[in-house]
Amino acid sequence: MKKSLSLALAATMALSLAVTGCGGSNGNANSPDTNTTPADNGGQQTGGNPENGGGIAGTVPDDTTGFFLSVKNADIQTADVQKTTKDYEIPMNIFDRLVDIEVDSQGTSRIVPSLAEDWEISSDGLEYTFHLRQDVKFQNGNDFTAEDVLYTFKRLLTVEGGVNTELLDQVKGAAEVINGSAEELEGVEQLDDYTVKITLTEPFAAFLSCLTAPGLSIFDSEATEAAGDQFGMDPSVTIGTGPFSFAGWSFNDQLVLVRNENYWKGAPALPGVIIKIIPDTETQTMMFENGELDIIDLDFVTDATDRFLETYPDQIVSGPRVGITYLTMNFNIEPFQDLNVRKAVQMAIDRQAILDALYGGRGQVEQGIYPFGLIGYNDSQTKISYDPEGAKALLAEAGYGDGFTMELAADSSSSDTVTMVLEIVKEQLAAVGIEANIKNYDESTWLETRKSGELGSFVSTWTADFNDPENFIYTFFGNEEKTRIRSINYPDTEVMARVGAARGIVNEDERLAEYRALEEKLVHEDAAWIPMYSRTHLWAVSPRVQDFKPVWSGVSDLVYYSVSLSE
Amino acid sequence: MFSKVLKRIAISIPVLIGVVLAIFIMLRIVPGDPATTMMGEHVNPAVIEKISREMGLDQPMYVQFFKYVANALKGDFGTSYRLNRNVTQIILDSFPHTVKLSLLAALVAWIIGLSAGIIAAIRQNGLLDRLFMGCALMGVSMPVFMTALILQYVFAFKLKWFPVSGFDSFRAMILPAIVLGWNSAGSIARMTRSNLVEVMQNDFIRTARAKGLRENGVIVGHALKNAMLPVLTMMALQISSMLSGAVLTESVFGVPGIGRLAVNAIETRDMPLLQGTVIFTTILIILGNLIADLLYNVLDPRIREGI
Amino acid sequence: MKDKNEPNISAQIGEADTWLDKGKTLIRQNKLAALSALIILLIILAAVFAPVVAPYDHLQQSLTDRLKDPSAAHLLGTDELGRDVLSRIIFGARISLTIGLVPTLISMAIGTILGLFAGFYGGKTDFAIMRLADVMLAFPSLLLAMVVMYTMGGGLINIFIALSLVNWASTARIVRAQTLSLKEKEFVEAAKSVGVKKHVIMFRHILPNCLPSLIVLFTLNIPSAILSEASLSFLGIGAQPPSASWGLMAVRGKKYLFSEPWLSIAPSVAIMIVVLAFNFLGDGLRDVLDPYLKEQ
Repeated sequence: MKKSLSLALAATMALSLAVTGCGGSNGNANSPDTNTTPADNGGQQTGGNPENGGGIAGTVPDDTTGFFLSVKNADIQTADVQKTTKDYEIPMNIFDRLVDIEVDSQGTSRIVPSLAEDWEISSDGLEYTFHLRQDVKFQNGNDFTAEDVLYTFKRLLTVEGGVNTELLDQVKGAAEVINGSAEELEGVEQLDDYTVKITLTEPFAAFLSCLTAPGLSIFDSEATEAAGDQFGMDPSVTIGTGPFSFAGWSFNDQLVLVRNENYWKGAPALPGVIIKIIPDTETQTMMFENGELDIIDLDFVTDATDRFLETYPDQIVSGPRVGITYLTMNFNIEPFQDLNVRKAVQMAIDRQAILDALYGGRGQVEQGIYPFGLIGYNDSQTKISYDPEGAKALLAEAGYGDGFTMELAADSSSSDTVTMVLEIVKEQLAAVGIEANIKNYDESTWLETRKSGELGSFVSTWTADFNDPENFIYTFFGNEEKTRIRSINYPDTEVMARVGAARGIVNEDERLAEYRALEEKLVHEDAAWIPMYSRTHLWAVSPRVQDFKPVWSGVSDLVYYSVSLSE
Repeated sequence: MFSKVLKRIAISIPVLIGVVLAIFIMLRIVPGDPATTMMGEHVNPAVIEKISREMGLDQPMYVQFFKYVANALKGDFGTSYRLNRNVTQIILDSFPHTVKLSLLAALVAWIIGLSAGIIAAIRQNGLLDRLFMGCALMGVSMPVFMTALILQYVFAFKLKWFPVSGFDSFRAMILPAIVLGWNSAGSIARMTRSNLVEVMQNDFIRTARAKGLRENGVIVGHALKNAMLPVLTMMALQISSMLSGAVLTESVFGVPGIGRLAVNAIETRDMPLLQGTVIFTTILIILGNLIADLLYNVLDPRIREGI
Repeated sequence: MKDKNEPNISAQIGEADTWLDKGKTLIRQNKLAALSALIILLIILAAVFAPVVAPYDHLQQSLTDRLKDPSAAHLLGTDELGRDVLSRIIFGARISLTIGLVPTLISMAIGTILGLFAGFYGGKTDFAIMRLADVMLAFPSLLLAMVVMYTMGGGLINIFIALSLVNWASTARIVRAQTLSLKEKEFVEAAKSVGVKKHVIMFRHILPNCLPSLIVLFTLNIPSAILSEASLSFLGIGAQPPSASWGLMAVRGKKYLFSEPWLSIAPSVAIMIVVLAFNFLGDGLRDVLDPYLKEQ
């Protein structure tokens, strides 16, 4: 037990140290006290701008004038994008991927070249040959070559704490590498220094979209291997090819990016970016209005959006948010086996009213499974109309003229707005005689119950991992297990077999046609799920911000490459 | 004296063990699989199983406990689920911010609390008594986050005297310190007042008065000295309430301190981080109590002799 | 009622003063405390008769009447779902007062019993109970409540458990200290000598003498429970909608601080009034009842 005392003593010492440190460290508002030291590992001679230190990873310049002041409401866990499914902001700015995605204002998306300047796909849909750019250097000066692609993909499957292995599920030999029976990833071959061939086990048309996912960012084989588990944690060893270097990270305080002078597309206009971590949204609002921030994500201040739109009409930017909010009905729970009941519930909910009330109508009422902005989005499909009288008639027909009781399962960790959606849905259902009771679950029980297939109706939002309809329909209706763990329990195995088969259709037009037919069948014929709406993502920017263009990257993280500031 | 100190320290040890055990058990009866909860819905089950193994969650609970205690004795509180970093390191990085905040807040608390308490005691049951006590209590009578928000709104947003958030300059520290300090001022004021009222009724004060000392002189010179002793013990209790208040204050003002860590840990269901944070702060409090007790012992006889 | 052999207990409480006299003294001496008592009484009445007092149904949504400014129709305006804020505050009093009362009662009951046993029996019982109390007191209360809520999830029942767990120890300490001094008193010695059973002595002789302290403590613990719940709500682990406590209303209304400030200010002021009232009443009672609280 004596050692616990020494620990306590250590704490006292820490306390007194902190006290003595208290007097001196005031002043410079922009100097982050990162606990990282610039490592002297070889090629850090890049980035020649003497004014700001020129973009060396792990080094925050003293002078941060002209830096873009951004904000997040929670700190990231890591910048190692193979170990996270949500912290994409730093990776999107310090790494590049083989291909990228662009979404236009009509909501259609397309794949564009990035580190791969072009590619060929074999006629059986199994082989993808990528020709890499030959002029790309990593931020440490190393050349980008095919070897880095091989290294990155293999690391994705083997790294401890990796959570994105499924991005390469279809690659030949991936399963063997994961379970340890193979050392090398058979499906990824280096044809020469700048050509990579990827072989799949079965045709998978969404594969290119998959490659745009932030999780498949390309790392420097040499630096990443040397960094070990500090990759993504220590900015000085977190090296990519992207437009910015990761300069500093002081936990719960701020993240700093600095310009990569040698970026292959040309250096960004911004000398750097400071991302403050501010959990309280009212604090964020006040900071923005006081000029302490250049941007605020109106998602964090949904309820103040109207006021922002009024106050700063010329400073609002919007972008697509490739995600759909949906309401489920569990086929294993009375009386949702009955088609008429499901249709009645679809008709009983005034989705436009909810969108208007909670989000000021900023978004689209959705009619299917693939939301606005997704490849395969269909704006001309059958519409579900809000028709409480019709709903009552259907209920009567189904023998539930007196209504019934159902559960709305709330995850207590979800946002206030989701809770309000449930409260409104409850009222709307009451209007057609259905008594919906909101039951609160703690997060883990909610997840477990849902996984067991026994959860009542719930409202949730699925945001694309990569831009393809496969990521939506297969997640919910791919097979019996998929539909059970979402607590939908859709019974038609034939339809689900078609959903599975659609992944392998090589012809893009045929594939999308099949996906649309399946969407029609599931949502409108079988009423197997209730599409609610997708939302527009809005930001307010300060008057000095120029050319800010939101880029869809899975969760609409900010990409600062195109941004500049006027002084 | 020395054996007394040793005895007092010895008593702290079972408490310390109890604290670690209590927290350990409480956090292990969480329903559901921690790995599932942690990773969320986009991650497939095989990955979750792998992570769960890597974190040692598949071992029996007593094994986990002894491993934890053994490591904790070496100052190692384990690795955060979320941050992939050593919990001790994270805590030590955040701790200085909380110490700065708490010290400044303590200063504020004592200034408000003592002055309100003294004035209230002098004007016992009068209008000033009510007014000053009301003021001191105001800070603790609103939810801390609202006090913070309102002060922030008025003084940082409207008047622009301070930055809205941050903790990197003295100016930025003032508002959070006031919010947190005001929150503790009420109890100090109350303690000071009631002790002063009591002491002033004592014989020696009457004697002093009879000697012709002026009222204020009486209070400052004699009564306060005697009333301060119990108030001193409040300091120890103060550490506890300060750390509670810091959780909210740090969140509102964006202070990267230890209270934020606890909130982070709750939000991301990062059990080792929550465990480490709570155990660490609790050790501080036990330590604070110990020091206050010892101080009391040291000061007590001298003050008595001083009468 | 009294056994002839037992000493007169009321005589121990405070010479000749009856409770009624105490009340009169309170009103005479401390107008503020008396006023506080009146306010608390009114709020309790409003909570009990909420359906009669409230102008509207607190759950009635009207999506076309969202976020209306205060007006004659809605004295405190409407909230984000078009519900009348005043009515919600009146109904919210039920929840907030329950959150103040229930965990305080539970924790004080536990604390009193444990404190009595510790003080009366001493020795190992005392050591065990008091070390347990030390453990509980060592935790920063909010962090402990957070851990409990983390484990069990949000919701009213869990708040009761969390706050009860957090607060019993201070009561136990105070009751123990009083028991220690009371058990040396003549009337207890007398009762012992005539063979009165131990539990009778504890609960009928010692406990009543602790009552003044307990009453004061009770008055002062209620507001802290209400505030703790507000803090938990801020962290998203407090009361769950639609059962809106004042704390939760303030948290949810906080988002409209810049456009519809009354949504957060109104419930906060409600909390402030109740907390101040209980505090003033507690202080007043302490002066009048003059219990042994000060040294603890």
